[in-house]
Amino acid sequence: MTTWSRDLDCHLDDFGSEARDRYRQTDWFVAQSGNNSSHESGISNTKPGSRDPSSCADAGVELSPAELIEKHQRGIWRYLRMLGCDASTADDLTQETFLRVLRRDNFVQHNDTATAGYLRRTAYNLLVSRHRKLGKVRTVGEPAVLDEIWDRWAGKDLAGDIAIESLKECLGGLTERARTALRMRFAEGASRVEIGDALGITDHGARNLMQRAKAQLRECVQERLHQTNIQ
Amino acid sequence: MNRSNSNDTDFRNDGADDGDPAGLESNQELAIDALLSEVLAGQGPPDLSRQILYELNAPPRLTGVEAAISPDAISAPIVDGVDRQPDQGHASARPSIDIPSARRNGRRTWIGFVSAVAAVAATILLMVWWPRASEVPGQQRIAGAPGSERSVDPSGTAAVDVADGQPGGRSLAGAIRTPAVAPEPHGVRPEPTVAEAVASADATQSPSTPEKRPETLDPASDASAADRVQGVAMAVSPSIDLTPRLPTTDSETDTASLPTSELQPLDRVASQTAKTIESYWKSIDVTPSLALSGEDLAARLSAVFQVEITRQQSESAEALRGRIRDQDASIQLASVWLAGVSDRGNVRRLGESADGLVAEIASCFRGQRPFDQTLRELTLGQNPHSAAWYQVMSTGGEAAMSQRLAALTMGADTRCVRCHDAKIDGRYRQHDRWAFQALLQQSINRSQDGRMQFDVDLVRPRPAFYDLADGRRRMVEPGVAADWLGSAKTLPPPARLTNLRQWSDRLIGSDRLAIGIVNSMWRMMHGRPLRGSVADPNTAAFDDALVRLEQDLASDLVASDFDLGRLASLIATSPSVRRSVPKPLQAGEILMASVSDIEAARRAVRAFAASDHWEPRVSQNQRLAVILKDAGKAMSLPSGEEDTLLAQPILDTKVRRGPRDGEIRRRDAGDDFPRRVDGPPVQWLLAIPELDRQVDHLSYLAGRQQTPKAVVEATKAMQGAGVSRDLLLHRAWWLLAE
Repeated sequence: MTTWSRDLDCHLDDFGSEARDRYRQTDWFVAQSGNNSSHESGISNTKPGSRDPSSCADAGVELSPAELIEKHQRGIWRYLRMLGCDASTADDLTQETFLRVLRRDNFVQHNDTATAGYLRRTAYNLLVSRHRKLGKVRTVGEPAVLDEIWDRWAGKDLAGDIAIESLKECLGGLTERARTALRMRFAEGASRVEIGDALGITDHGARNLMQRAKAQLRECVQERLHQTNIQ
Repeated sequence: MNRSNSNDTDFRNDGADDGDPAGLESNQELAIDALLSEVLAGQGPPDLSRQILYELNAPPRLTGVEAAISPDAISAPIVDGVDRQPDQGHASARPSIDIPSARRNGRRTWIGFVSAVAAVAATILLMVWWPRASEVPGQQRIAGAPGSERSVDPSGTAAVDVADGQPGGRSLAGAIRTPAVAPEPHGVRPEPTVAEAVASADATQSPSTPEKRPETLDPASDASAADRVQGVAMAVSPSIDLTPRLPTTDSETDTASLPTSELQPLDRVASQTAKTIESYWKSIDVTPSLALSGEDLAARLSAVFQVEITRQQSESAEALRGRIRDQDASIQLASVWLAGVSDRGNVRRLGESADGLVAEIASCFRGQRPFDQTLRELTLGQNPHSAAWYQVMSTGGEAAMSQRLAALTMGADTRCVRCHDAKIDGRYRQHDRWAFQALLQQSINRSQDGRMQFDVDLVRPRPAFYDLADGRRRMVEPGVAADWLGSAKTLPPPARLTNLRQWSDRLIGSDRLAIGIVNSMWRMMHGRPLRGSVADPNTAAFDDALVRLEQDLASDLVASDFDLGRLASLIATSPSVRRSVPKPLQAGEILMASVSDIEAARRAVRAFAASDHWEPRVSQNQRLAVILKDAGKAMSLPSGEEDTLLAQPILDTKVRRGPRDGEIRRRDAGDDFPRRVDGPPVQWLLAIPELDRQVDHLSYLAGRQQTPKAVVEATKAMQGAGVSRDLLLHRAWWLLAE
């Protein structure tokens, strides 16, 4: 099962018995469980309302709101940035996400992973709502896809800190030109034309240079995350 | 601005692959872009705990009209760092977000409704009454551009619309023009009437303004907010300053009363400038180094201007002024100046997108357009190159942009007040700095299609937050502090300015703008501003003559209608530019000179009585390599840079020449490497006990938002090699300097 589907399953009780049973009968859920019959999954054997904490990863003690925020806010913020938000929108929606979740009467912290998934879903929904209200037509990926991508980058590190540290180290492996191009692009907001001018290449060349650099970074970061066993 | 937004048009298809129906690849692209923005642009996740917990524990929020009219919907000042209720009028009225559990109180609803009706009625009455009450008897109306009738206080100076070609000009009568009669550029909408301004102000102040919660600025992601300076009393204001502040009258800092003068002939002003500089050197007991030959001076100017300057043209201000009026020279000079004020480092990094902007500024160098007016248009978004202007000035982020604009437009040095009030130069407060940054952030935005939008009236300002050095949070309203602006002769000093329009109007004829430009132009020529901060390691010694020099140049700039070319020619032909490198600092001599001789030579350099170097400095990589080599560590340089890193200095003293002669001096990376010093770069560093913090502060002083990795690496290496702290700090500064 993917992280997201594990998270969902850990929340099934929250939906009430009718919704829970309906979900467990769907083809999708069956496929995610890896069995032909939902009744054969270990999870489905759990009686309603008597969830087995050990069936969910990272089962732990319920955190206070302050601890919860401290633990998850960086991850949510980075997730929103990954969805294309600028920094101040990510700030706003991060705050709103936590307020929404913490004000829910029936929010239960099953475990860190489940909570993180739940927060991400809430953040995603808030972003989509925001786009609708502002009349923006934005392409945002499907939640499952986004969670898959988040898994690849953050995995068990809910905040994404290890990915950031890995990226910083991987940047050292790029050529000076590639680093210059990326720095101009991200730190200075330079256009491809400007980058090309600075490096003495065409704007198309600048694009290719940065694409290769980013591909190299992705591989490097994935490798490091794999080595630290968080994926 | 959303420079790091992966939806920027320019890069939308950067990594998009065809045949990616699940969107996996394109979303992967977004993911890595977001991570790179964080790592490279320093846009990391802020700590929002406090805001979230506050909101979570706050009393149930009313929505819509109830929030607008709630007796609590008035912001309370934050006193002694204790957060009171935030502005509920801003934070609460979000009908688009479902806030559960909101309680409705019928009685409060009724009272609130009546209050709202009363407020609306009062506003309407005020709008009707105010225009009649504000007219001064005998007030004149001057017809300017169509649709832009303006009024002038008859007690002030009657200005004319230069755009209409009215006789009398602006400055020959010696008057400082009032900003209220700035001509309308590009046919944009006319200046707001007083009634509109009042209505605008009312809208700003109204508690019924629906707005989202206060935005969080991003001050602390680079750890600068965590600095704590030990041993020096902090001057932290205990509350938000709501009272008008009058301009300072300190004789050293009072530039609000520049002597107004008629525009003098250029050579006469040049002669007076030379005398003032020489009297400055005499008063601080500095002996200037030998003067350059005519050929060498022309070569030096050619290198700085990046265009050929002949010996004849370099001999007098008038001759050089004529050269600057040429199209090629003005464009090159505008590029160099713009690269300097934007900290882009070199002209090539301006890019093609700035070509139009450069051409616009070049017309100011040719004397065809007053730069104060051009700047006003650029600021307000009324110029076709406004977007390019802000783009160029925003290198390094919004914090850097606000720093640059404060320095250029108001002569305000805000490097040290990001984290705390200025400790040495008491003019600048952290609160004002963040207010200015908030103003820029909220007034300049990008639309969905990537175009820049300007909210020049900022009808709905949002409070912003910043961190004090001790970790407390403080709220600030966007605006510009009055004592950053100086005074305009015909307008009373306002308490503060609250939008771009008010701020840019004050730029016209501004003495502070003139001072900012003088220092930027001086920096272009000498590598440092004329009157730097006392906090700077390389600042010239303060003296009345130095202040007088700055004021004279600024006065002349104002009198000349902000003719940039005239100012450039004055500075470029001044005695300070003609100075050679003193012997103790020359390549090969520095190793044999005594510490006292070196220090005397450096003192002369600081006072612009000697030159330190003119050739382009070696790269930071090469300088880092010198430091590491000295510390016994190896560093591999990128190809092409290794051959300039030599163990022995070169004794070649040829000066780099301009396009006429392609011979270039081969500069050794270690020519000015600090080897022997007497004390730290600046004494105030002694008040900071930790070395890391000292190095951090040097980085901020160099205009960086955080300590560069190269400097961190160099510091560690030098520590490991047992380099003394004073010498280590000098070398760190050497590494940081551009």
